[in-house]
Amino acid sequence: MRFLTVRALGAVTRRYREHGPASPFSSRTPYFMHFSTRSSAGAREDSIGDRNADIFDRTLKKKQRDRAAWLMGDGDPLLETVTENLLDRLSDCKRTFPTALNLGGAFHYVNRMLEGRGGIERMISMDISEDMVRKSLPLATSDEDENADAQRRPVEHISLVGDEEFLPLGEGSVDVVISSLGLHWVNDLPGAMSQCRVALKPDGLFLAAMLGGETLKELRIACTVAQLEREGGISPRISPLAQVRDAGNLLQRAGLALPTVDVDEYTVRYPSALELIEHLRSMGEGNAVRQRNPVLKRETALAAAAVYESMFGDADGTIPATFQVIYMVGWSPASNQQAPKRRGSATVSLHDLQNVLPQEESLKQPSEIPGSKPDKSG
Amino acid sequence: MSSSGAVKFVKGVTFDPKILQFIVCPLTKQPLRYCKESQELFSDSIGVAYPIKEGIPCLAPLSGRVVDSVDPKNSP
Repeated sequence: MRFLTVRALGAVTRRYREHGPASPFSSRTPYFMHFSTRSSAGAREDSIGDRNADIFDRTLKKKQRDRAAWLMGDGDPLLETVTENLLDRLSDCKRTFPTALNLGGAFHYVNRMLEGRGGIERMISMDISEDMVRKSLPLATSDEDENADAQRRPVEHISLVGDEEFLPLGEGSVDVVISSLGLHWVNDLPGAMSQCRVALKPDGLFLAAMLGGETLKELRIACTVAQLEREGGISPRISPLAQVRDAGNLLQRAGLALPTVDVDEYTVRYPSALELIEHLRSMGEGNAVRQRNPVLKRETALAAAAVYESMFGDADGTIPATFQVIYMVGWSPASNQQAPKRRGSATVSLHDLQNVLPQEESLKQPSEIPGSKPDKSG
Repeated sequence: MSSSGAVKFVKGVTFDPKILQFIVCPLTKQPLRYCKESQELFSDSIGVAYPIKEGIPCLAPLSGRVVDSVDPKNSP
């Protein structure tokens, strides 16, 4: 393994010496950022300021989602499971959310599987891809018919094309933001979440499912091994994803109160790595890292598939793929929420507490503690 | 492949100006002005028009068109 690493570094430096900076931005970025990659053409079309620090190519992501609108089937078990788990959290809330924003990812599954949860009357669906939004329109109309049959108030669907990084929603306009696997391709995640918080009314709910860092770890390893073996260097094939420990920080940084984070791991089995890639494509989850290598050699791809099968394959001939999903729940701050008391506002000293608390001998007769409330139940 | 030309999805989605109470310009977060003739949403402070494609407003910053001059008489 060691000689492979050395070979890889050698290839990087040689490439840099021979070809010089690979992109016009190279003068400001360290050379090691550019091993075996070119800056994509799509990113250069981006005219909004200096987006040099971007990790993801949003123009490419838009195209991938356009394609996914045509590739996706009717029911994706993974997306259905994640969306069901996410929407289940709406039932846990006692209040209703009349206006909802449905942000990217599997938003059509959210529309389809909502089934009147959360008392949502108006659903604003937004996605970066126009084809994706149009594809979900028939769903939206048929959904309304079903709801009418079930004697529920029909959900009013509003569709928008927009960028999660530039949320086109007014301040305090929605009661809940739902995002089912829609935030892991956002460059400025804290910014996007802050914008969601601004769009929420006070005491509004932010509900998101996001892919975590353990996702596709098998594919990550297989691609790395295959690339080192065949090309003598690696390029990012799997995008960097948020870690579980980041999720809580993200919620707090976005100014959301009462943050809750929990993690679920799903293992999906495929006949081979090729089916896995097809599934990822149909979800619009292709590689959109800006520093990616746009060329994937057939030889390397087949090697990666073979490595995947030999390293992780099961006896029955299938291969497992891990999807780690981070569920994030946060509330936009409001005065009526529970909050810790101000520092120094306590009126009872911890020292006095000692006298009130039951001593060892009085534990046997709890009703005789001086100063405590008589216990009616026992 | 142009996204709108090849699409065979349901038609008949019409833009409802009621939506304007929710949506704002993604860059300035200011209210948008609806122009029925050109089917565009104007963000007056920066002079950008966002298209409404078959009833769906496209509010991604890159889909906006920079307007040379905004006629104040058009604004309601």
